[in-house]
Amino acid sequence: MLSIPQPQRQDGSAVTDADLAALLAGEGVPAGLRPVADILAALTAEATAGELAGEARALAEYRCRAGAPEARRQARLGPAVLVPRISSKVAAAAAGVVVLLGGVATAAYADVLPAPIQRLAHDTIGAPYAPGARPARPVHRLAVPGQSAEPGSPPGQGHSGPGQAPHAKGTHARASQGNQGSGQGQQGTGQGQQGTGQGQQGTGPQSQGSGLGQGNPHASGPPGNPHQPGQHGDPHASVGHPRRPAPAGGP
Amino acid sequence: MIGEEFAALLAAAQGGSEAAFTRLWRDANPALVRYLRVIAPGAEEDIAAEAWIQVVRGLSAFRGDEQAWRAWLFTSARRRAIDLARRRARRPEAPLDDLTAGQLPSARDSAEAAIENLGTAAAIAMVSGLPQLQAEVILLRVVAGLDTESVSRLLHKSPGAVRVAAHRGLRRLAEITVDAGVTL
Repeated sequence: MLSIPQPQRQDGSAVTDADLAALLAGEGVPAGLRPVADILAALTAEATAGELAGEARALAEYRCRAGAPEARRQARLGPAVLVPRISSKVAAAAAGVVVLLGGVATAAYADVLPAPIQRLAHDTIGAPYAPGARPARPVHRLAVPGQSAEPGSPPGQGHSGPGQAPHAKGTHARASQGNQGSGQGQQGTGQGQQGTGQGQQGTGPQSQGSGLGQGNPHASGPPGNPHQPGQHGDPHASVGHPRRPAPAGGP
Repeated sequence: MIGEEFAALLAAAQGGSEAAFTRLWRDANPALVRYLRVIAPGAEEDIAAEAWIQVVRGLSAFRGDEQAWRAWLFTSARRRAIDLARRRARRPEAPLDDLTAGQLPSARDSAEAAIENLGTAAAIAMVSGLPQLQAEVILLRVVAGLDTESVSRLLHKSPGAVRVAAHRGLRRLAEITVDAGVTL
């Protein structure tokens, strides 16, 4: 049988990782591959200035996204390449809110706001409120005993004491029974100004609206709110309690 | 390549150390630029910058050794180079028909440049004259420092195909240098 010689392969055996490593190191390189070894060595020579020119850009990106918290903060404050836009928007919105609130507060203390808003400001921040100076507005809600007839007036807010007695008149006539905002130091003390007076109405000065631990711990208004539900001797006058006629008499 | 210090450097960079990140960048970026100079000439700096942006974004979540780190970096760069090539193919900026044969690069020109000064740029020019796959394999094996397995995954080729491409590329370089009379 004739044996047909096969043509020799041009590329011989494949170069292994070890051969490449040897080429890079310039050790044990076949004579015919010495120039190739030099080429490979030139490919891995020291970096040039042009190849390091993008360092500042990469570092800026790193500071914005992955750097230390202080570096990220400084990167945002400084002329960084990438500045989170939302921070400026949030800051602008917050500044706008602060200015608006400040303006409203100023107007409230100047007693120039519309009556409902002025009353709210009076309830919240103690701004002056003189409803008599304004034209009377019709009240569309029945003055139910023990319930504040003022729509929208939040319970447990720090009204001032007896000096605000005019509040007890008019729509608060029915609610003035019992403790007429006597403000015996126990009302609206900042502790549970809701004045729920749970079952303690008429039993003593602390019964009305002391609300120790029962009310709004955040209420920080002046003591003696004659308009707080429950301070009028009605334990059920607080929000959510069923309405009952206020008992006669008071402390 | 950084070597044994890589794990500590990576952890420090992930923890916010600018010095550690700078060290990682300086170690890998020159190799990255040289690789991109062959597969995306004229856009190597922009593509390298984009690749680093992606790396920075995923830095905190990266887990792996130095091989995986370099493979990740070069994979990101290669994808962007491919995207750029596709965009250029759709909107060619310089039609090749307008170029004469003398203006097209050739292996001979690269070899002649190597005769004058065998530096990094000349070596890159010589590799640029190889077929695309052979040039990429040699650059990824030699310049990027990736092993055969990593290169095969990056190029979506079998390890055997990668070894054959590297062998053929080295043989071709040998022929070019011999023909050009390059000696050191």
